[in-house]
Amino acid sequence: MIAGWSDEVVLVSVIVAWAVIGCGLAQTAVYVLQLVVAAVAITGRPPVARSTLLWHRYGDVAPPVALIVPAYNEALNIVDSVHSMLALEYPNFEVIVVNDGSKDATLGCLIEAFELVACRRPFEEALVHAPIRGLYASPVSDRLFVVDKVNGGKADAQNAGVNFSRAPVFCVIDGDSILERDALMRAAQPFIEDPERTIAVGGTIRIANGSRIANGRIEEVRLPSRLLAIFQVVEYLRAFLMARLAWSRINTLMLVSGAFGMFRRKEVVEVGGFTRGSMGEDLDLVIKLHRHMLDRRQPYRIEFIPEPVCWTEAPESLRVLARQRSRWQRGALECFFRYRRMAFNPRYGRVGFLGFGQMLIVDVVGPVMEVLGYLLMPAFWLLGILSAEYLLAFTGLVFSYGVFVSVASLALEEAELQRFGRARDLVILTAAAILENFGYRQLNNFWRLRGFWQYLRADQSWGEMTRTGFSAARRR
Amino acid sequence: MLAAIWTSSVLLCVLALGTMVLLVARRLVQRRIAARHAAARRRLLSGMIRFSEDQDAAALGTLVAATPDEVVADAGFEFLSLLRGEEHARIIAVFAAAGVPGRIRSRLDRRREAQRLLGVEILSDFPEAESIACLLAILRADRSAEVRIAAAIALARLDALPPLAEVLSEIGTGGRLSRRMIDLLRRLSFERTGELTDYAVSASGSPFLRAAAIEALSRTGEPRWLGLFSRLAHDAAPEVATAAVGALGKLGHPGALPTLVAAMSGPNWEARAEAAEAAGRLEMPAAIAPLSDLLEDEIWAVRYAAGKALRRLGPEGEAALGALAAGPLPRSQRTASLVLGEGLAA
Repeated sequence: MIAGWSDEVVLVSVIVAWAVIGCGLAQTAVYVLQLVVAAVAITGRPPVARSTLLWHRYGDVAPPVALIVPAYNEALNIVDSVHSMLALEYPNFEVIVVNDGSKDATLGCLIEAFELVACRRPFEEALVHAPIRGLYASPVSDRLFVVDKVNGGKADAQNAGVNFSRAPVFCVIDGDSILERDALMRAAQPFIEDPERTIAVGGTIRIANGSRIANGRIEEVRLPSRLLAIFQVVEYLRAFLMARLAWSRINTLMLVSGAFGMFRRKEVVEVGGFTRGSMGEDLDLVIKLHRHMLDRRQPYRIEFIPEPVCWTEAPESLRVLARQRSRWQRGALECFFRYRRMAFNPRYGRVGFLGFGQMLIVDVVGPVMEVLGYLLMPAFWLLGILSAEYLLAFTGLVFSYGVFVSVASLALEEAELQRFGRARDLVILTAAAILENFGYRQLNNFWRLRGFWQYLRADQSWGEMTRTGFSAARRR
Repeated sequence: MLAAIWTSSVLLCVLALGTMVLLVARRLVQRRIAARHAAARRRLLSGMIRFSEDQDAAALGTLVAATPDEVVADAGFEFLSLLRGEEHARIIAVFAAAGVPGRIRSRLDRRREAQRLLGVEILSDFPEAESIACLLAILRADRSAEVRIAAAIALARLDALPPLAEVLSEIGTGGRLSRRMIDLLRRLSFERTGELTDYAVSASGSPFLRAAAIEALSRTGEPRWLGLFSRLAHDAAPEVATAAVGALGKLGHPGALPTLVAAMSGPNWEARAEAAEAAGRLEMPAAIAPLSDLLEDEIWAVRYAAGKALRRLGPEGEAALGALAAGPLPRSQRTASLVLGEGLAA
């Protein structure tokens, strides 16, 4: 017995402490696995080839692609984004912007900028979505179509875009994003090299805040000026260059980001498209695709390619970021529990054990346990159940491990992409990778817990994403 | 225990920060190398532009010899890809005299796949025996299927490709499914049609490649393939049958119509859609009736292809569409109305 507490209290404390430590160790194992597999994947894959070379090599055999851009209240960025999409270097593509009942001037901006006129285009009603109000084409670009529909959410808008698309492969991209000119060609590479098995490909999402943007194009990559956005740069590097690369390597990639993902239309239609009203429609679709292919015992690949880069605007206020992170957490929980029958089910192999296991540890149990750890460990120390030496030692280990993982993802970025031009940026990012462990990480966990609570209360609100716009970013 | 935990923490921090210090130092060194390469690139590009004006082969040869391999492979061949005809040939001759093919060949055993791919593509500009031997060795031994395919394409460009059966065997099962194989087969479409027809009819061949062989043959536009494509339109492999139907459409021969009409009522919906599109290309009024029937097909893509084909048949096709749009069958009525209304609003 410690300091006069009853055996029962000590026993419960020990059990809780070991549960927290066990979860921490499991998370550590997941991160170590990701790191090792990502490092192997990066050393084994070819470095970036020149864009002109890609065109020369793949231009004649690249499949037609439909670029689907759901847009809701994106008046600030949509024209720049569409300009950047129309300027993409790809032999055969069309851009389908779906205005999802925006309350702002999104449609008006598009009509004015691209001289849109009403048109008719037959389409297959393969997927369900809210009613269409109008369809527009541009006399200045035969690649551009705009679908105006009643608001139904992002997944609903994406389904409308899939219905309108005629290409065998489509690419979804957010209306506030900018694709690099050769991004489509790079993302299409797996569809060219392994066309029978490849059903989805994801690319890297990077944060554009602070970068110099002109004519819908990133002219110079710079770090954001605000610390909150710099922390998100480190987070995105960790998520894309470590986690997704690793899971893709073992064909267990559970998420192809809705901000930039390429899919084979046939399979997406077969699984019923994006799940309407879902908080994590991108995660949901990829899980459905895994289930569909594994049920049919068909060989398939869902790939992540680091080089095709899509730039997006990150929230710079705590309020907006909090809403985004809570929503992501709700999306992860919703998908985990919706497809819980796949979890640890031998029928779904690696996806069931590794994919769902990782979701369970990192997304479902992780935030709860981490916050519990932050609260209980000092409490146990105050109550005399835990010694001060161990409290400090464990706390030190948790933070140093966090720093190690963040810095390792930076190292992967430096080895693979080197998109930050200056050595000074690397130093700043290293400092951010250390600092984010003290405050930002805890805040993030708090937002995720809030998402957990909202999920339990069945709160389906999406929350407004306040944008400052790429034009504003350019001036900074 | 406590000491072990603290030691682990310190080790992790030192490892992380040490790695970043090394990476920052590496970046500084790389910047200096990149600056040197950028200067060499500018010099080489200026030299090549100057050569197109003064034709001073000795000056360009000296410059190329003094330029790092990476820059020659990258900038030199990027510039060359913009040129055609005699100007291209003259610069290639200067590069060959400056020993570029040998320098490129020496880089082909490198670990990095992208470097080998680029090297193989560059060698296809140098029709010398050593380059051909080197490409053949890569086709037979490289560990990457994509590099082997690139070597095969380079050899095809140099008219030195071994027999197709041997090439396919060297490329291996996985590589044979790459869409780059379509590129390879297209390069054989005029000179080595016999091998393509052999593969197209081979029942044991991969349906994907057989379809690619049919597509490559159809690019010649020669009416002599009518019989072959008509036979293959009934092939058991849906991919092959669809490709054959599409190839008939590209030939545009009126004799293809009976096969296309038969394909319109087949079980393979992709072949039905392809047959409708192909019939539209033939622009024969005899296709109106079967195409009109297809507007009742259960697959939307087939109905739409048939509607578009009818519209392509001119006033008679449009009249048929108009009648269907006013007719009693809901599916045909809807598709015909949609196809007739397609386009910019008046």
